Amino acid sequence: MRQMYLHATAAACLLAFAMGDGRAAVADLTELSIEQLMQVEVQSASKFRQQAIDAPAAVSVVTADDIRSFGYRTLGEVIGSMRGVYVSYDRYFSYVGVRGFARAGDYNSRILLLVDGIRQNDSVFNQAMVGTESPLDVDLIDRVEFVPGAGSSVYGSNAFFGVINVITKNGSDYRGSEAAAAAGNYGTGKLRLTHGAAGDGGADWLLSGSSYYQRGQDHFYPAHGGRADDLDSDRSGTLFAKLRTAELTLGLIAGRRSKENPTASFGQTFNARGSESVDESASLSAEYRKALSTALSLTARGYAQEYRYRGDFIYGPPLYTNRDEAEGRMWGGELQFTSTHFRGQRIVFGAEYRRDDGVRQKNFDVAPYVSYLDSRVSDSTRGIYVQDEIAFGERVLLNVGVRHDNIGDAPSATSPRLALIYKPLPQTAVKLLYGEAYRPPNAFERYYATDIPSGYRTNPNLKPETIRSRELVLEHALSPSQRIVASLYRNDVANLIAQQYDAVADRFYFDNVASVRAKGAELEWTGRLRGGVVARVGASWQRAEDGASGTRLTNSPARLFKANLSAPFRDEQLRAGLEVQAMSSRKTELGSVAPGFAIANLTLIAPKLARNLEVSASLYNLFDRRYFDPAGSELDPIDRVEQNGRNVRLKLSYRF
Amino acid sequence: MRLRLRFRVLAAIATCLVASAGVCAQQVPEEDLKAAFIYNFVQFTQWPKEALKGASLTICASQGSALYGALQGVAGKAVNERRIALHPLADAVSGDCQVIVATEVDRPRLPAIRRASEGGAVLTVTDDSELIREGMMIGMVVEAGRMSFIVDNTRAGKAGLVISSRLLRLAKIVQ
Repeated sequence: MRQMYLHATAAACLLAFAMGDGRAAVADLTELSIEQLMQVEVQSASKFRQQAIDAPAAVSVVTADDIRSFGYRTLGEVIGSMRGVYVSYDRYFSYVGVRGFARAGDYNSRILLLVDGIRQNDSVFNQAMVGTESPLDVDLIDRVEFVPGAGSSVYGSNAFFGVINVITKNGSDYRGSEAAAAAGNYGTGKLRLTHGAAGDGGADWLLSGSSYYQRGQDHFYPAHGGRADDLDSDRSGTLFAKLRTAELTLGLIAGRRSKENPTASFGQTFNARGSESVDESASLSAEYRKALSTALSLTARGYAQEYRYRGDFIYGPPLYTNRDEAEGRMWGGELQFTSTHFRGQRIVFGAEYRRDDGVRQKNFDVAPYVSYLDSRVSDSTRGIYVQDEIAFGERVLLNVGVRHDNIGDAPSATSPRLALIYKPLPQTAVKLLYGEAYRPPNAFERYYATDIPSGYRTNPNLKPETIRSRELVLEHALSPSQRIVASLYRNDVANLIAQQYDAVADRFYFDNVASVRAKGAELEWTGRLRGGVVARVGASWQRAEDGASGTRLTNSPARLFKANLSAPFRDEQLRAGLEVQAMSSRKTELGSVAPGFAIANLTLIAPKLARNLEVSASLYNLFDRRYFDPAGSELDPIDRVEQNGRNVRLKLSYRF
Repeated sequence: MRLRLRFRVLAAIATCLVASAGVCAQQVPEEDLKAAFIYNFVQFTQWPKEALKGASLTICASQGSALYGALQGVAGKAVNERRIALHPLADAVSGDCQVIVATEVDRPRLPAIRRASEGGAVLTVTDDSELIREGMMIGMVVEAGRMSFIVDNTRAGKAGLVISSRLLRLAKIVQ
């Protein structure tokens, strides 16, 4: 396996240094007339996005071209390709790990997911949905930015380990219709229909619908001594709409996913039909941007989200269904002003109000009906924030921000951030970053209690958890098309909320379990090379440990390695994308080990196989490696979940 | 056995990637092409006499952007007996720039760009869809592998700039 990294890395590096960046070409181009220039073919199949060297973080970006080039199917696969991030799957949900943190029962509530600037985490679990449960089709994504580190100073709660910022495509990206169909192993099929139009005066709109089906696999679980037959199906439908004018953007994201669960989690009867979860959500948003004067601009946002969850759990014999239901409505608004009134300063300030209304959680046996939980709560959050970016000459930039939040009956939280950016050269930035963030316990952690075997009990003493992150970043452009990022960081989490199991009472509960500290280093090189070759190679080392005992956390790999290489062939008629992802071993909740692994994925695209037809073929887990993700304690006695072997996807997109 | 197979596949892929770099040489890197377009925009724009001081015509762009590197290939060239100079946008003040080239990285600097171009005859050019919407005069767009551009001639006219009809004829949209 090690040898494989070496070959992939060597190939990438050879390519990087064998080719210059060829600035001489510009002078020749100026000899051409503009009419001739308009006939020149642009080499931009995969665009290398320039990243803001001034940003107060080491931001990772994945673009729509990358999503096509590497055949990403979910948002989780997109962010899983980024520096320091890893995603685990337990055949139920996808869980995002950042810089050595990936907690069981976490449902990604420590990651803030924004789509076009609008919060997506729901009001019950505060879950950032990134797997097939996500209501946003990845084909509609223009780019995804991941901002690691404490982000509460701007965004408030849940921006704990980082912020995922998804920017969607516009009607002008389509100017017509597109139909896409995909098929793959495990009885997988997907259809999408999209129409986009752009009118005069900058207005445009986009409408898209997708449906997805996966029959799934039969999984053998040694811990249960048997196979879960035909219990892995995954079905979803999503709808997306966006309307833009010069100043106003309206958005709609809706989706429904149902997933069967083969793992008999929460002490269910193994291999019993009927165990599944259904997640539904619909979000409406509006954003209004206006320049009030040359030095002051306004962004106003409003949003409303309805979320519903149903989970069926099968117990017995005799078999009976225990059902979980949750629903919540979230609505709110934000006013944000950006002022450049003072020379050399950019001040952003704003206020946000968010209401979580009618957050309801129920648990009952379906027949005969016995209710174990019926809780209904409402909550509201009020936040104000200010951030000032001060330039001291050309070389020094200071970014200071603070946000104060009042959350219902929980203690209020103040989250500061401080960033010092020094640019000794225009292409080099050294960043010294400090931030604090918080996450209040979500409704599930606070109010969920069921008086059944392997049920839950509440914990009235639950407090918000907090993080302090410190980071030193070096970003350097080796040339206009090559860039390196190096980072050293340290995170200290206090009052971390984690799912605990009380063996005596046979109940799960949430508690602020002491403290956790993590430190690590990351290194990444990105290059856009001659001939349209794009490469990214990165490695990270991290140690996340329990503050009291000093032992390494579960589901926390010491090392991660990622390499992405994409290149065109035959005059851009064909493009190949090769991805290698590797990580070292991880401890499981039950004390065993999920061994380290390396997998490779290969995607070939023919963008114009026929007129308006794009065809792509992806081979995931190219070398058919067997690998596992650690399971949460709710899967006991299963300690780790086997991931997919080699599988293929064929996709056709037709524009008309 | 497995390892050897893997090596062969990887070696094949690497060889193909290297070979492909040569095959695509007739295509032009996007930033280089944009720089050449900007050179043409400058050629086909007429500034009011009082806006042009000295012997040079200054293009301002962010040093952090990839386009800045490409524009260095244009700097020093003569247009209508004036030499093109390249200047970092970050420390430009009103009157420094005759052309402002803004890219995606400049989105946060929009108010500063407005201030630097306000009241003066400054041609504003961008390749970023957001900034086109924010009222830049010329927007460059890549469509179907070719570069094209849109012109807001009303805005240019208000700033006292005269854009040649040859350029306007070639533009995809003229406002």
